[in-house]
Parts: sequence; structure tokens; C-alpha cells
Amino acid sequence: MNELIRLENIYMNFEKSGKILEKEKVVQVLQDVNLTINEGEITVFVGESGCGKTTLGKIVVGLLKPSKGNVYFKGQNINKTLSSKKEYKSSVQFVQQDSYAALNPVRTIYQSLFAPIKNQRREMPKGEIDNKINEYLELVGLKPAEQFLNKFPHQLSGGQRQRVCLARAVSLDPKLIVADEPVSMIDVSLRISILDIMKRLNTELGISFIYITHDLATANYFANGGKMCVMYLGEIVEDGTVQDIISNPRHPYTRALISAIPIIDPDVDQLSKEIPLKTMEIGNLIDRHIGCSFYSRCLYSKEKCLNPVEYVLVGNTKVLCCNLEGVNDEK
Amino acid sequence: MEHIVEFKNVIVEYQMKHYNLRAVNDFSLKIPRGKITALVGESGSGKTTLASTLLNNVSKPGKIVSGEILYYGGDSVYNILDLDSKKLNQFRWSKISMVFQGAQNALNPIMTIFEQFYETLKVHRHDITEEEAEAICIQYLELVNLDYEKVFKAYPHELSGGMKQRVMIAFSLLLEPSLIILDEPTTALDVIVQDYIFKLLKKINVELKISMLLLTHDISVVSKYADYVAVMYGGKLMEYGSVKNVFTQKRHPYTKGLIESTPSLDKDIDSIKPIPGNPPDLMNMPSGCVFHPRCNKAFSACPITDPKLVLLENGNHLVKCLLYKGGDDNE
Repeated sequence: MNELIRLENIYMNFEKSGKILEKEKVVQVLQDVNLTINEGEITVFVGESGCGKTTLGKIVVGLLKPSKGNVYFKGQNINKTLSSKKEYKSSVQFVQQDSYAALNPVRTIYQSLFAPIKNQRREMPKGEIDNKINEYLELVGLKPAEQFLNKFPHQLSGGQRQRVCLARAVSLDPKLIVADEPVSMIDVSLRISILDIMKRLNTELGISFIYITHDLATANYFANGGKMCVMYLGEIVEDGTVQDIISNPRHPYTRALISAIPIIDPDVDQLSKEIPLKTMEIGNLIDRHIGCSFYSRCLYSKEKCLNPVEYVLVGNTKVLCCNLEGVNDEK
Repeated sequence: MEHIVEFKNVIVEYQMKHYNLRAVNDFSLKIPRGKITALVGESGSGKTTLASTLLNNVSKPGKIVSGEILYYGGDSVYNILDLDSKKLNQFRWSKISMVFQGAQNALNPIMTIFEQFYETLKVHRHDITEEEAEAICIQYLELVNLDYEKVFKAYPHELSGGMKQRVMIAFSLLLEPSLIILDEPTTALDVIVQDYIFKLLKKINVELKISMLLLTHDISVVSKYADYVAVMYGGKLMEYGSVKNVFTQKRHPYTKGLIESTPSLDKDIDSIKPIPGNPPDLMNMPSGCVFHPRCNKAFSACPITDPKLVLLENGNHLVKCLLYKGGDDNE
């Protein structure tokens, strides 16, 4: 498979202004992230709020520039040697969580879809663009397309708006779509149909996806067969295939995440099960200690966890944990 | 079984310039005392509007057109809609309180947590001193596992999402109500915090014997935490029963569709199917059964006859569907 995007030692810091006369605080959002995304592949970033998954997504799209580290698009560094910035920009598209905020409220669907295509392909005649818009709207299940062209975003339901956003992302023939919680604001009964469209775009058009979510159940549905990166406090703590991670989670944090997901079966007693975590409080991003960032919440933490951690390869899964033997013994 | 609240043929309309939009349509239901009852429905199904009738607090231009809401308080029964404004002010929060959707925005940003608690206590108990108020607050903040010394003098922005949600739960307990309405209490939170909050609510429900009405669109949450479930669609009650009955028998096609369209880690991926179509347009409601345009079991009578709620044989299980005639289980 051809490599599409490579992230190399990405660090991201945000500065937070302290009180007067105090030193500026640095919020370390991402810590040494390495990742490769291949053509036609689905990758899931999963983790709780504040783990840096959206920040990482924005770095991939080029909306944020990392404080340290490099992003490569087809082997070229996007901030230095990129020969065609235009190609990168149209090849990597972003679909946001809030479809209402993502569409201009005073533009019709037609206008919202027309502008990006015209911008990228100035030589294309209007009639051809119109045909393309129709084609893309029907591709995402908005049929007949004429019915939607002259509507404004507020006249559509949440599910329909998210489809428009997908059509807009697809309209530039991207190689990769970064979808940031695309279904979390959509009704449960319609979520699956949106994910089905994304699946189809992946299999039929070969578009790679990065699916950012905290919902492992939809991740499992959408990315079955793809890759998964479990993130905790700005680090990828487990990196492997979706099936491996869900059926056999290694990192204590992944186990906690999976145990918290409700199962639809009233006969299973789920309430007596405790989540395997020491505390609910997420660690601090400001004064990070050396060593495992999961230390304060891990049930298996030992003194050696305060030393710098390195990835361990278990089967095909990379795990960032220093006490895996301890975790496995108590399993 | 004892009940705490009874809805009797409640109709709520939003009165617009040219038409009346009926958000809650002839809704009747008894809410059991001391249990967690979930009200499930997609956005626009009228669940929040229905819940706001319990506090006689429907936002304008909404109006409760007809119906009764009976409150069973110890030895007396009264219609909430008959209370005059003075009595209503006493009734609200002290008998029924509410945890609003998006607790993140429900707190006053320029008051500390204690100031807000004290203000509420003072309105209902004029002679309360600051020390007494403090003791009450400490009691409830400890109940929701918050470190009161940290939270007391904090402003809302200093707390995380999960902490704010717990503050709101403590807030709702402040006047020892007998029923708490929880409007999507965990939508903006991730799975681990969600599980934590629900276990906390279950503890409050069991230990303090407070009844709860949980509004949600996430059916997997219902099967894990609730005792009874009412399914709402297009402003009408579609099905009601114990969680066990509703989830194992899957009587109503809509409930069945909801359960089958929700991704879950223990389900076979191929068995997950979306419900076709879109939620009903409240301005242009389908004739007959509201669900028939999306129903895969619809037959000739469905677009004509609006089914009645029938009681199934297994007791206390109501279904509104022409497939069931009630009494016996013939399909």
C-alpha cells in the first residue's frame, strides 16, 4: 500500500497565559506522535475528551502547525518541500462534528458546494460543475438532488446537513477525509446510514478515512478491518488493528474504555462491574511528569512506571506500557 | 405499583402565526415511584417539551392545550397545571427538579458554586443561615464524590465537564425532591465519565429513593441503567414497559429498529441496520400511524388508522401498533 500521510515525532504545545508576573504555562497536548496513514485505509483515533485526538486531526489536515515534528504528504514535508500545496490541500479534507456550524447559514447548499470546486478548478465550465454537484449529492444519498440545491442549512435535518458536508468534502476528489465525530450530534437511528455512506466512499472511491471519536461501538462498526489508535493525554497508547484491540485490549486504559461501553442486553448485569481505574480525574497536561502518563489512574502502576516508557510490540499491536507483565498476570 | 406522576392526555402545541405545531400529542403515562424511567426518542420527538410540562415551564410560544398532570405526594394528589404561581414556585425544585441538557451552560458563569447553591436555598427557606447552607452543600457535594473544598469557591469555568455535571446533580438534590428529570445528562461526556455519572445516579436512586425520569436518545444507556422505558415518536407514546420486557420482546417496529440500529461491541456488524427515512416533519405529520412511512411492517391499514395503545398480556406493557390487538399476543 502506498503511504499517504506520515507523522513524525509530532509535539504540540499550547501556551496558556498565567497570572501577572507568573511564567507562561505550556499545555502539552501532543507528545511524540508517530503515525503512517496509507491509501485506502481507515484509521480511528479514539480517546476521551482532552486526549488530543482533534488536535492531531487538525495537524493532519494542515489547520494547525505542530510545535515540533514533521508531517509528510506522499513523502514530502508539507511545511518545507511540498511541490504542490494545492494538491495536498484538496487531497485532505475535513468533516466536522457540528454540521450546522460548518455550513454558511446565508448560503444555499448549491453555493456552499459550488465555491470549493470553482476555487480548485478555475477552468471548469459552470455546467460541468453543476453536474458534479448533482452527482455528489446523490452519492451521499440526497435524492433527488434538485430538491436540496436551493435550500439553506437551517431547512435541513442534522443528518441531511452532515451528508452535505460529506458531499462537499468528496467534491474535491480527496485521498483522505478526516471525520471529527461526524455522527455524535446525529440521532441514533440515522447514525448508521451516515457511517454506511462513509464506508461506501472508502470501498468504491478508495478514499482513506481518519475517524475521530470517543465511541468505540461506532468505530467498530465503521472501521472493522482498519487501524485504531487509542490516545491518552496526547500519546498513542495502543496502535493496532480494530479487531485486535477490541477483542484483545492490552493497555489498561483501553480495557477501561471498553468496559465502560453499555451493552444492549438487559439480562447482563452491567452495573456491578467497576471500571478498572484508580480515579476518575484525568491527569494534568500542564506539568507532565516523566514516565507513563496513565500512572495516576492505572491499577497496575509500579514504581518503574515513573521511568520513561517505550512501546512494546505484542503480536501486531504497539502498546505504550511499562508493566504489561503485571497487567497480564492479574487478568 | 405506586406512582409518582401521571400524565393524562397531555397535548402541547407551539402556536405559530399560521399553524399550530403539536409537539406532544395526547400523551398518557404513569411514572413509577422510586424507579428510573427512561423516555427515549429522537430529536424532535417531544421528550424535552413533555418533561418541561412537569414543571409547567413550557417555553414560549408553547402552550399546554389540554390534559392533566397529577402529582402523587404522600397523602395528597394534585394537578400540577392547577397550581397558582406562588404555589408553583414552591413546588418547582422542591418536589420535582431537573438536570438540564448541557450542564456546561446551566451554571451561572460569574457566581461561585456555593453562591449559586446558597441563592437557591434562600429562595425556598428564607431563614437559612450561611453555615446551615454550607452544611447542606457539603453533604450533597460529597454524595456526588466531589472534593467540596475545591469546588465550593470555584467558578464554573474552573471545573471539567464531568465535574460540572456532578455539580448540577448535587444542585438538583438540594431541596430533597421526590422526582428528578435528567435531560440527556451525559451527551457531551465520554463513555468513562458517562458510566461514572450513571452509577452515581443509580446510587442516589437506591439510597435516597428518589424517582428519576431520564430523557435520552441513546438506547444502549437505557438498557444498562433504567428500570422502565417509554418510547416516544412524533410526540406520541409508542411503547412502554419494563426494560426487560421491551428489550427482549422487541414488540414495536420502531423500538426494534432503534435497538437494531445502535452499534454495540457485542453485536454482529451485519445485523446492524439503519431505520430508513427521516424523523417526521411535525408541520406535516403523516396520517394514521406516525411511524408508518418508515416502518418495514406497515400494511394497508397503517396510513389510515391511528392505533390505540393496547395492554399486552404480560402485564404493564403498552404498545401502540396495529400489529397487536392486546389481551393475547397474536401478531
